[in-house]
Amino acid sequence: MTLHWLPRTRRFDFLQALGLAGLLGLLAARFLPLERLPFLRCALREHSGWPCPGCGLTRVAVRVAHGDIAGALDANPLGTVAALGFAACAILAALQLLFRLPLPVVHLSAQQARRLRLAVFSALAVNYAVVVVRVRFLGWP
Amino acid sequence: MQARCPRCASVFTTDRSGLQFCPNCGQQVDVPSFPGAPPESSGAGWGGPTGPAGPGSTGPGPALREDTPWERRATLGWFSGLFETWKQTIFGPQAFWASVKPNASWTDALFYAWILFAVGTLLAAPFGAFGVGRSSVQTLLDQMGELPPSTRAAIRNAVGGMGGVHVVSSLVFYPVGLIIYAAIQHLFCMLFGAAKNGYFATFRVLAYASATNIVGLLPCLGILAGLYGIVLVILGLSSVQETSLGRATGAVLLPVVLVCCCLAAAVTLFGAALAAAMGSFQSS
Repeated sequence: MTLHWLPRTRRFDFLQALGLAGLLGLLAARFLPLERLPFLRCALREHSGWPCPGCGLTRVAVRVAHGDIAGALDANPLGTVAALGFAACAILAALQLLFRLPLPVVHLSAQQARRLRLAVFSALAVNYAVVVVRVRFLGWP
Repeated sequence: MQARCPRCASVFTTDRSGLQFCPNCGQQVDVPSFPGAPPESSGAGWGGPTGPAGPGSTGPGPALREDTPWERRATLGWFSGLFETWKQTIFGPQAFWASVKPNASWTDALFYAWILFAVGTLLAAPFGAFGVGRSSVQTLLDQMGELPPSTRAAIRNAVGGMGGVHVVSSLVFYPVGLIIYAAIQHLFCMLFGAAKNGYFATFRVLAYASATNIVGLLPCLGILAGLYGIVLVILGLSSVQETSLGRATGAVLLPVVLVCCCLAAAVTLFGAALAAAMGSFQSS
């Protein structure tokens, strides 16, 4: 793994796009009644009783936007990590644009990238297993 | 040979020509070929201006990456550039994607997608004005229970597509939506190792693949246009990000599985209900 620092210039790139997504998503979750929108309910869960891998993400966004991190972790653990990541991107992007903050660029070898991808896929699978166990066997809402 | 990065101006040594990353700042640099240079790296997919097609990539053979007709509108003319790009995207996607530069201007692609979206929105606006969908909006609001009147009005305007406010606001926010969509899609591209040419290559694919916005206006073709749009994005990512079709397909479909499998369940249930109805029709 190698690390390079970008020069101190204002730029609009991937980080800023993620930051924009995080900012608008959390603002929407803070001020709009997302949990009451009927088309955001899980049809799979309503008809089969089994949650989908994305079950709880709306609640995660609403709870993170209201500062309820513990509640968000209850709804979907990995979704909470993702929501906090988006929030971090929003802060970093704002700092970079305001103060021309130099940001690091990480270059991974092919093997390291493969391992990282495997870790993310494993985390997705474990997270889904946790959601299934909670909903199906522990009776969580 | 030595090459200079246009972003950080650092000089680095390389033994090949073509697209590669600056070791100093990570910027993608297109190193021109020189006599006796070996061909570009043989990754899966198109190698670049003169690169060969890799295993699993799309395209009929070696291709020359060039500006799209839309990006050459200064010489072709605005309408001709727009129409030629749209035609190539819809009717010859493999050849089109094989010719798209991954690192050309993203604002041109955004402008192209924005114009198509504006045309589609303006053509669809009369359907909202004539009240199509009003009853479904009312059903939706009934399901949502007690809401402040201002929120109900905002939802009625936004979802029903009634009035100029919806048209104007959707036109204004479309670029933001496309930037966010591309960011989310690029995350999944990274997850599948299909992000070789960076965020703006993904952005350009999504922008040019929005050509189906216009086809979707035709009656009964909305769902087909949506599905064809997914196919266009898969082909585009495979070619422009120089990766295999399998990785591109995974990167496009995983978000659908993760977030929208509810929709898949609804479609399945609809299909099952339709099959049951057809069965009862045949038996009667």
